[in-house]
Amino acid sequence: MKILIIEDDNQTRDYVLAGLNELGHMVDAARDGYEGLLLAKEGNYDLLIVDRMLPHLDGLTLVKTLRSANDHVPVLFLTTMSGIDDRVEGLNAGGDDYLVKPFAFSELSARVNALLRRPRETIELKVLQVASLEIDLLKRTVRRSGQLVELQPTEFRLLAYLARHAGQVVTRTMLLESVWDFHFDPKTNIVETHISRLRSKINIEGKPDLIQTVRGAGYMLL
Amino acid sequence: MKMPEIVGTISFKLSALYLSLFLASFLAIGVSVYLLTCQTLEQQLKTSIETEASRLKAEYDSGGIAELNDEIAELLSFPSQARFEYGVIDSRGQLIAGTFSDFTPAEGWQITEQKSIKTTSTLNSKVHFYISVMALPDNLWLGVGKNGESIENAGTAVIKAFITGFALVIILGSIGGFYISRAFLVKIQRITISTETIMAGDLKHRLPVSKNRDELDKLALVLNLMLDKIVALMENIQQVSNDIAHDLRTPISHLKFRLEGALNGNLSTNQYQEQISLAIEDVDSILATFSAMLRISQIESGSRRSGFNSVNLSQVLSNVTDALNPVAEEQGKTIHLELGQDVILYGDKELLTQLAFNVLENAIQHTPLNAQVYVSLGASGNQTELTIADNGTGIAEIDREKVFRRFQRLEKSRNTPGNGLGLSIAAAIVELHGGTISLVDNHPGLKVVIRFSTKQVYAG
Repeated sequence: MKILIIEDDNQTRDYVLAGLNELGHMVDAARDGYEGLLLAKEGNYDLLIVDRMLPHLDGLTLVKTLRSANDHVPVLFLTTMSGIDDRVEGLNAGGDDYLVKPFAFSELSARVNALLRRPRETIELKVLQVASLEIDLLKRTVRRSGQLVELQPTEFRLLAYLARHAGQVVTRTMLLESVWDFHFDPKTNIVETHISRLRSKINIEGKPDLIQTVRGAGYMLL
Repeated sequence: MKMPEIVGTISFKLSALYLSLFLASFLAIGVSVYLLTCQTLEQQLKTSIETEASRLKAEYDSGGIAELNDEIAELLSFPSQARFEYGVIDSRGQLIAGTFSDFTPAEGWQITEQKSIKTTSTLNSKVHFYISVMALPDNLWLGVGKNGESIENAGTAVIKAFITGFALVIILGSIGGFYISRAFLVKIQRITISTETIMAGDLKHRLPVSKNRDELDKLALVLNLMLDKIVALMENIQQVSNDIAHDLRTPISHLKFRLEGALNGNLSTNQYQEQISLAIEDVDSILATFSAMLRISQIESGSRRSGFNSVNLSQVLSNVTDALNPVAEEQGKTIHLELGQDVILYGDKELLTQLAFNVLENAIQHTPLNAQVYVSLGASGNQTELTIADNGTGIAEIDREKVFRRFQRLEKSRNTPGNGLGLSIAAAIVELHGGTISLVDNHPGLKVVIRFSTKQVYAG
């Protein structure tokens, strides 16, 4: 996939560039807002990673400009601004996701993957099928190899999120944000607790564990 | 106190302005009094001259020139300073009777100038002379005249009185203005000296406030209150920097020990990886502490208020309880949630979620096995009350205020995870929403009571 990173801090840019290259992406880099906007307009990228504070043209304006030109390329904001006002502002300007520095590369790559795999045209699926797991999003029912599994509403939301991102690593923070709408870092690992409950419910005896723990990164439904 | 300094003060300028305004009106009054006095006196003089002339004309009419002559002679025989002058002339100006012929044979008023008779009148040596001329039959003219010295004298007196008053006003006004300005300057100077003392570092010093309670004293009082607030904030910052120095040094030193240990340890690749990932965990926890601190200062700045909206507090509570329930159950604890009708609060949903989460998480973490935690939300009249109570060991009364301080971790909880910022964040969030948070004894256990007032709350 073709990714453009617009970031003025050399260290962060090189870190992200090297990491994404290693994952097999083609990555271009820009050092300031103007250069970034020019590249973004011509380069036909699958994803932009944009720093909020850039020389010449700030990230927010850059994305607004792209969006007003009807460019719907997915945008991931990087920022040192941790306030949620900034996050809401970034999302309102047309950003698709928001990551606060300093971040772990695993977090970035999980979010990049989620954005890249996201279908541009969101077709509302009624049923998600992952291996022997069948999730009916309308009836809100789950079957494992045909057998009905009783889930709490939160557990259902958690499983549905994992299933939508099946085959991708999903981080703890992504789950906190999308399943619980928590935008802070709790001390207690509530994600781990909920995942282990979900596991015990969908892993009916003898069947293989469908939820993989990716060490230091997150979880993945296979 | 130097003269130029006083001249520059506001009170001096105001005094000068008032003084000039007063002098201008004083001058206007003086001029009108002078003109009115002269006019009235002139009118009176003319009337008396006319009466005298009419009387003499009547004498002539009854007895001819001889009787008039006798009458004039008789009148002139009384020596008087304020007497009239009389004369009868023919058409050529020849004096026929009386002593006075300085007028022309034409009926009406004639005003001439005459040397002043009075020696006291030094202001002008000439005075006006008023003559009323009347035509008599037989082509004769009767003139009766009187000098206007009394008018000039009265006018002069009026001018003198006003000049004296004018001088007095200038002298008194200048002296008064000077003293008022000096009193003002002295006060300002005291405030300046105090301010300089404070700026030099004596933050305990306060501006002087006199018993007069004038505007300057009121200003000084307000400034003193501001200084109190600044001192409190500075102490807070001081406290925070000490806390940061202390509480971040510890994990950073641990990290350093770990890295040094790994470096000197001659480990296998797997063991190195293990050490590095542990080191990353250490760094993450340090970063989390930083984020929490940034969040507190962001909340305390109040800028979040601009994003306030209607928040369903009941829903927030059930979400948070739902998230923490499995955690509690894992530790053998039970959360009891008791929600009345939906409570809608005007506030920041994310922060209210974090508030509920932090307090509930705290209750779960710091209670012994099998503890019961009760969460309840109630709106009564004009208040919303959120209570999170447990039947754990509670917090001793003397420690209760401490838990809201940054990095404060009570001795008995030193070995549970956390950075001691959870309740500080909670307190900051409550304050942002104009509420109160307090800890009370639950006999046994701890009860956290959070109240929000009606202004922000709409039950609904």
